[in-house]
Amino acid sequence: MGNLTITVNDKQHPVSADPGTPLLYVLRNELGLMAAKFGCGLAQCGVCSVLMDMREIRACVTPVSTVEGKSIITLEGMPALWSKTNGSESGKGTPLPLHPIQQAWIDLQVPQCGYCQSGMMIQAASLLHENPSPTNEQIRKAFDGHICRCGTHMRVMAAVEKAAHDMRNGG
Amino acid sequence: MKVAHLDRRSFLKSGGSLVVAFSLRTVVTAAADFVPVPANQLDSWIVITEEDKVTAFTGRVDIGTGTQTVYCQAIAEELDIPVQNVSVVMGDTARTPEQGKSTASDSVTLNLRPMRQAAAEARGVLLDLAAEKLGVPREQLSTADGAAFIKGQPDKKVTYGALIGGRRFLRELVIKGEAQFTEIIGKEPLKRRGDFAVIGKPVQRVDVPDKVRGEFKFVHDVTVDGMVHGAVVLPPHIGARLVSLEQPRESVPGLIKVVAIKNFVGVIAETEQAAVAARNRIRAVWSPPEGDVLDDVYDVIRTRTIVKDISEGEIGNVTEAFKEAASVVEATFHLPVNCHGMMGPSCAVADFRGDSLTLWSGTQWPDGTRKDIAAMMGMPPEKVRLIWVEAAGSYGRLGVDDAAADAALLSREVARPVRVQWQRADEHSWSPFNPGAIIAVKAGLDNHGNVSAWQLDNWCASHSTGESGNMLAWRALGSNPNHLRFSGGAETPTYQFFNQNLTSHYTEEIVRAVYMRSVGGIQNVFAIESMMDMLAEKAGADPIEFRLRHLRDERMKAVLRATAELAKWRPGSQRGSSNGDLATGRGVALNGGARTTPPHLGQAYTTTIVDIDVNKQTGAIRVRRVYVGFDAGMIVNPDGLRNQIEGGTIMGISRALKEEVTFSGRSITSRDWRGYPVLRFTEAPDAIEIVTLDNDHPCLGAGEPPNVTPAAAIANALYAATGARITALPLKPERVKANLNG
Repeated sequence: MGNLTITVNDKQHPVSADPGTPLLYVLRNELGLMAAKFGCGLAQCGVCSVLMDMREIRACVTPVSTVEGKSIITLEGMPALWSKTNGSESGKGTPLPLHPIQQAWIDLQVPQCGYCQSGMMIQAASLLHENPSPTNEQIRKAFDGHICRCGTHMRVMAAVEKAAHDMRNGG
Repeated sequence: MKVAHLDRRSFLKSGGSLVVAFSLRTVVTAAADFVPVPANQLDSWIVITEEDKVTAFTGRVDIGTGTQTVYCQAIAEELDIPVQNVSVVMGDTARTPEQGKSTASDSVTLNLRPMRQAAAEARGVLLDLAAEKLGVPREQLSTADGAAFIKGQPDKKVTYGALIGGRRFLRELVIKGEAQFTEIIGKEPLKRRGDFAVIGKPVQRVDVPDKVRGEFKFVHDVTVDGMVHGAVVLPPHIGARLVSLEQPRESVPGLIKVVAIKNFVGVIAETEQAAVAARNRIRAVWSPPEGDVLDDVYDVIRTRTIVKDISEGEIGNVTEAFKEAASVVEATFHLPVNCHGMMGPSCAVADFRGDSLTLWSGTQWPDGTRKDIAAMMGMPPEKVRLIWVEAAGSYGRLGVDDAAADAALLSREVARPVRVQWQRADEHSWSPFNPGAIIAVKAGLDNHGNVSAWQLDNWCASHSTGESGNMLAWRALGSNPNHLRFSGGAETPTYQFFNQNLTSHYTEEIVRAVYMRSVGGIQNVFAIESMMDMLAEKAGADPIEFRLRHLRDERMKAVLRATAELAKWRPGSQRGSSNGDLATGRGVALNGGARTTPPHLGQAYTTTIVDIDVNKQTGAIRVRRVYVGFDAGMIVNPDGLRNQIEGGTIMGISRALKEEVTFSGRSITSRDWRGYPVLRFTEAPDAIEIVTLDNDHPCLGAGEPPNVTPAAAIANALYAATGARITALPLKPERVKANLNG
């Protein structure tokens, strides 16, 4: 029985799982945030990626206790992340606009089965936070730890470039 | 009470002057059985609400290629209603008509027309209803935007919701064929191509927004009240029998039960992490390995008993033709075992309750899986409902859903819903595979340098041994039926050879198998298209000109020409350049037309040209540019098609350069992504350029064909670049380096 509290998508959540439990299971099974997926449990594939203080981490091998005091953002939290960064507000009751990364993913129709795509978008957010104007080479390197079996590689790279451009221009 | 209690139509009310008294399947018997949905009723296919929302129902499923969107387009087109108003329920055996497997790239080929016809029949009923309501003959009416209106008086209209919303069509349909071949013989005409509003247009995929928001529910995301977590404990080698089982050495908090039935071992726990912990800590003792070692799978193929020789097509007289040939070229090709490698390992939920069972499964064959699991559990099939929920892309692996079988067994043990999630090592070691193959090709050229004789022999185990009743759990129980369907052997070449002999030599099973994206396509085409290049060289001909000479199918020729033009192919240019460590080259491969293995229909016409560079020091191949030409008949969703071509090309390159399942003794050693590497972002091409040839021919599927041709194209490019002809996959650096001359 743990008495941890973690901050996910800007909200505090008490955690009942043991401190050694992978963050992935806490996000999915306790907090109901299902976007991050189980793919390997070995940090090899990236479908579990989330942001910790704006850096991509593998939730499947990260013990939940180690993220106490950090800011975890999942795909579900990306619209709010953008609104906060961008300083924009939406009208009361209307949903937040998508993060430019998410919008680029829709505009370029990136996903096929979609199972790996949460991790891809998280990686994009991590990369663009660190490097707002990555070259194609830098994008490839940043994504080298993400596997996609459906073969969306070309569209992922194009969407990252589009999102980078859109974010530099205020979305 | 036997009711259609999961009747999705339960919200519909009776009443209204045009709705006759129900003579419905509300038969009353003893227990809640799941009633098959009658395909011969329009209400089984289409429902329209008072808010003008259309729901279509189909037994086909979408394994991530976008067929759900295609079906929405089909319905929206024939019903003249916006695509946004249409949704599709897929693969729920209690709510959708039975339509067999979703495989063989035929989800559009076979089901576009039934979807369109169902919508057209619905439109017909709506026009009849509108004619009555508006007081004019039906011929004076037309439809647009979800409403029927009087031609020339668009404000004299009535919406579909007002006409039928909340009520049944009560229209009987004539059905021909069954399972995936189900056809609706309709009274209403279908739209002509020139009148299409959404078919053929780049409609955005309907599932993408939810997937991008993180709100899309995959089967891995299904939760059921009271659900607990299961894991399977799989043996360390093929053929192992359970000898003994001990509880975990340290207690696992949250562990509910350890289940051992014959060779099936599973654990059930309160949380997912407890299930994984229990799985890892269980001490199972298995029988030692017996039987042949699998380290050299080709050795095994050569020595295994042949269970069936099948002549796949004899034309002319090959023996005579070889005697008279001016020259003969022979080669033997070695194709490794491949793993589907789903991004989401097998996962399913089962709820065994009373005497009935509900399954949530990503299977590609809802009714087959339902019946298999019912049989495995000793239950009548009408007590089992399977609700398909999209899994990760499965590329054929979910022709058999192991996790669903596991979950069913475990759920019955604790009378609670159980979710089973396979681990990555489980999936890479124990999912059914694409078998290895040895393919020998012998071809003769006449005095004019034309192919006069062609003989192809394919030794492999059937690609279907894991299907129909060969779920791992059922095998572990020792009560599974055999599955004798032969598939994946020798394939008909696209070319017209006047003397030809093709034979499949099917061995006993080596590894449990299920078709992987094109079945034997990559293997056969690797052999065929490598040989064609070898023959072209022998004949002193350009590889493309040589191929054109031997093609009779005008569509194949058109695709080949279009791709050559896109790539600016110039005879002799395939040899590229050599600059220090790097050599460059280009190669071509094609495929299309008939397949020998039913139920495949005509394959879409594909040509792939690749530009590669090869590092002569390391043997590493990098595919730089790819040019793909494609004829899929009438194009329904142009962007969806392009996405499949890109994706299939990437998988084809991955399978060509990197993929092979490895063994030690009777164990799989490629147990994760390190052991079974696939193409990475740093290895993806610089560009994939595509030319699609649109026409009015019936649709051909694009799910499989693009991944068939890259391997041969790369091998041909490698030869052009270095002079090394490699006849085995994968074209990994060690193999390439070993084959390079100085």
